[in-house]
Amino acid sequence: MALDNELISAVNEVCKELGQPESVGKRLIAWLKECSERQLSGAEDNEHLELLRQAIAIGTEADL
Amino acid sequence: MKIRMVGWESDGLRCPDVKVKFSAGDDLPKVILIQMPNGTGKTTTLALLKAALTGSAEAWQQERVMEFAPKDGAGSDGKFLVRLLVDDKPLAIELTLSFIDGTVTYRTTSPASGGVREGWHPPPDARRFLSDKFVGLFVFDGELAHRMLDATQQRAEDAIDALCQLDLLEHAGNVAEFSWQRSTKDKQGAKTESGLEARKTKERKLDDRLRQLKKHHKEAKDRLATVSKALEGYDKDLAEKLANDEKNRRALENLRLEEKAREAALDKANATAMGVIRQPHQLSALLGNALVSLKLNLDKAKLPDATSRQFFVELAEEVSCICGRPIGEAERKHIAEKARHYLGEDISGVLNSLKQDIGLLVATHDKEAISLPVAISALADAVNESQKTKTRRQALEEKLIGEAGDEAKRLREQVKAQQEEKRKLADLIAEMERAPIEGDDDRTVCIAWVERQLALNRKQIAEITGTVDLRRRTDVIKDLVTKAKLRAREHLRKVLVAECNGHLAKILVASPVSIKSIQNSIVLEGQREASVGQTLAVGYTFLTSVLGRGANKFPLIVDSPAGPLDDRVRAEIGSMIPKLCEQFVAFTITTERHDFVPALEKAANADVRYLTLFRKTAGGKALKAKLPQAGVIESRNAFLVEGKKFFDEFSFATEAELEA
Repeated sequence: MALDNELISAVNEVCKELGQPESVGKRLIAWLKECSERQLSGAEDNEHLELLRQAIAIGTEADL
Repeated sequence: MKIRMVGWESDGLRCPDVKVKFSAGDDLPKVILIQMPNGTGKTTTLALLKAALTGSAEAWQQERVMEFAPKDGAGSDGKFLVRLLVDDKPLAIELTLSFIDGTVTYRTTSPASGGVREGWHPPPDARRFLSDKFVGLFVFDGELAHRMLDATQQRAEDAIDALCQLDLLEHAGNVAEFSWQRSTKDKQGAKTESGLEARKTKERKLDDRLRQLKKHHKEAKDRLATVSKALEGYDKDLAEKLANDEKNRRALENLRLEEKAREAALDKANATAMGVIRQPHQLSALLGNALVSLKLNLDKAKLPDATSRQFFVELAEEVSCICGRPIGEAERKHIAEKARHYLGEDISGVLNSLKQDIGLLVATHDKEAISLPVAISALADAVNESQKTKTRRQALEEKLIGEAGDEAKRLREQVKAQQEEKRKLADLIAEMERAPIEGDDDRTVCIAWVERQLALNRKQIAEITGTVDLRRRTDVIKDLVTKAKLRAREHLRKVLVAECNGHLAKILVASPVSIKSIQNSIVLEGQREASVGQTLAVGYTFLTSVLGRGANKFPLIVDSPAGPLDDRVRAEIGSMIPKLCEQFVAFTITTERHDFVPALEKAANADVRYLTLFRKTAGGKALKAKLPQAGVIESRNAFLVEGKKFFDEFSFATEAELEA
């Protein structure tokens, strides 16, 4: 079952504005899509979270 | 996820004992119409249906449970069972209401969650869609459509968030936050233990405070909408009370308009004066001249750029440094390389901007510029004029209220009270929404300050526990999901406005109305209030459009779907609904049939099941002789008749027979 197209385009737009790589948007959308299809277990949520974290680009210490 | 309703059974409750099956054979019809005369228990059935779907009845108080006991004397308990198909797999949820101890228990039957189980246990996949909030969007009475346009509620926004699954973004953010919090546990060494614990306690407090402030912020905004609406009403009533004398009414109206114009002029004069105050050279010629001198001196000293660079360039050519040490080849090279960094680019930048601004704003004399004395004088005049008009308006209003009597006085008091509350609420909301200031502390209601403190505290926790990198990634995720939710909601609002207006242009040809925007509720174009029929048409159009967008399919179960609609609108709504939902179940009364049902039947390609349910009353027993030979189910206290013919022929006269 698909997510709403407006939700997908919003994630991709914001991802770009935050200077994050495309893979961040793709991984978040994959997570949300699976959530929309069925109830994920805590372990499954954490797997998606870990993949998402790995894709995130973080700036220098000064950005903190 | 596809949820469809298959039927329900009730026994020993306020609604009639009945076993309703929506399908005669294997296939479920698209539309199920259950005609139930007033008093047959439509509201009770709908309430029990919601309770079965959401599992919420376990929390009911005894008084609430007793509301479902039959009027003709209760047995010890009553049962209500709803049968569903969830992704084509059967699910049955049964409630047992005990009228002895006032409790409700559940039993769930589902092959997907272990057969028959005591308690409310729908399959895990379906649980998310069986919350109060969600079920309320597809099981409702005609009032819900109305509530979509009520500015004091947040139903339109809730519907978008729930049905277009924007809440999933929040879920991802919560998982990320929870994961970080878990990773900071048990990571402290002995030295940092107490410091970490203190910060974690502070984090919890700030988090609670933030949640509380956001809740209060929402409540204040909702209350402001309610008060504004009430104020409009009282204002209108007061104006009507004072409108007896046309001459006075016009004079008062003119004064009110003049007062508004004076207030606008005052705002403008105030903004101009503040603008002058923010320009120091316009405050006084002394300040202006001093600024020009500063620029000239900076130019003369070749500051910041040339002098700073030149100093190091010249130093690099010397034999010894200003500190006395000799400058060798390596030092010379290093000084030349690093020269431009040493005075700091930020300071150079500020000095350059300062010089540029002085050149542009001060040195170039603007003959058109307003001086401070002129601006202050204009402001004083504006204050004076505004005050005079206000006094004149108040004097006339007092006079008219005195003449109009006690009712007008009471209304004026109401207006004053509402104005005061509105002002206080607006001040509170502004205080909550402002940027942080230096004097803010733990008692502040400034949301941005609390958010900043929370971020700072989390940064410190991350540093102590060695989870800085994790915290930063968590912050990116939270920022991403928060902004994406707002953006998606904004996109959806625009798309839905266009889509709904397209439908409304066809539906409400005779009395056009269109949606201006969708905020918390639906805002209509150019008019604040619509007729009941228009409101219902707008609400349905919105709900069915949102339901139609969602990837998940739910039944639309409605009590009195066409109640206050006029004939033409009924036909249009009737033809629209089957196209926009998977299954439509409606509890109707005879007066709703006309125009609505034929259009509904046509749009559903005649895939409609007609049921008529009525109680066994004294008149109902006489009616038994008139019932068809087939398709009748008789229970202890009701008849359920299947078939279009009986459905169509069931009339006011029949209802009157039932009453007899």
